[in-house]
Amino acid sequence: MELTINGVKKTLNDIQTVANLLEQLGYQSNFVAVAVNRTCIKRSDFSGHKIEAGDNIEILAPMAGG
Amino acid sequence: MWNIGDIELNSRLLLGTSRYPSATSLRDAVLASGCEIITVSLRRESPEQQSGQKFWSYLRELPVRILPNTAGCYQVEEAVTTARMARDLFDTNWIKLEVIGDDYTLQPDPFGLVEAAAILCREGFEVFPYTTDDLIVAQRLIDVGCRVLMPWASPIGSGLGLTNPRAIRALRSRFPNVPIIIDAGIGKPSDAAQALELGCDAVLLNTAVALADDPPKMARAFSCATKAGRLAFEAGIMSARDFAVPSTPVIGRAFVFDESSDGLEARFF
Repeated sequence: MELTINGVKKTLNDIQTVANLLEQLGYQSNFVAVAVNRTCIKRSDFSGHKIEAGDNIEILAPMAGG
Repeated sequence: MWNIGDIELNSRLLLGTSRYPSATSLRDAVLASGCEIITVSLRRESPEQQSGQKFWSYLRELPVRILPNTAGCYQVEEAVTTARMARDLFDTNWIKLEVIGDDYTLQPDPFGLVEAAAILCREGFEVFPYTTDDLIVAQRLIDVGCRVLMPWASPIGSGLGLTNPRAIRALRSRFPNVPIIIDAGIGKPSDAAQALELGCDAVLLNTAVALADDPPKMARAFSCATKAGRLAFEAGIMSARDFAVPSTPVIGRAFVFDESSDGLEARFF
């Protein structure tokens, strides 16, 4: 299915949930914040939240800030 | 000692974590300052770099509270979603709320800020609103549930210091029981001291320390400045006058002839 991940279109297969997505993309830690279609997905819901074709996904992590 | 909500704090210096020459420099500056709160942002993480994880591995060892921000958000919806993501990731209801209205000055959008603050306060966030020094905006922020105000001193990263101290004094006067943290524009320790002398509770700064030749030493300088400024405020600062008033007693001066005096009296005031 085609997804937009951090602003870039990607085609990925066998993605069911946010947890699957992170694993398939190669994130080694689940210490990330995720929004799907501009809605925050709690980390406790990563395994339960279904990913649909066309979803717009943001994957964020801590960064320096003022 | 001062408070944000139920949290008691000793340090009146909050530090940003950006633009340091190295992670070691950042860590040393935070430790040298004695600050208890540092700000962080959320940015896109690539699976190849995982730079956010590396950054976090440095921060999580520090004995400080994390104040996530919504820096770079221009829309209410973006800021609110970012705040919710930060709450989940950092396990805190604190959020430094930024809704920017202008690219050139990075001036807060006061209308969007109040709207976003209202949503987040209803959801139980402790909102630290990055705002201008406008009195009415501050009142609206308090009306929607903010318990802290974070007016700018001057534009972010400018180092101009307090460009409108009268407005800050007015905020302090009108909201005597609301913690006021001066955020943005602090360039040197004397700016921080001035903010504290005006009765502000704390200052939040980043660039002035991060871009110093010696960030840890500058962090210590700011720590000293905030302590000095607060002590001065508590001690009571004298009123300024337009003309000179001698500090050495006038009475008893030598070489002055006055028939009405015996010439020997001394006065201490």
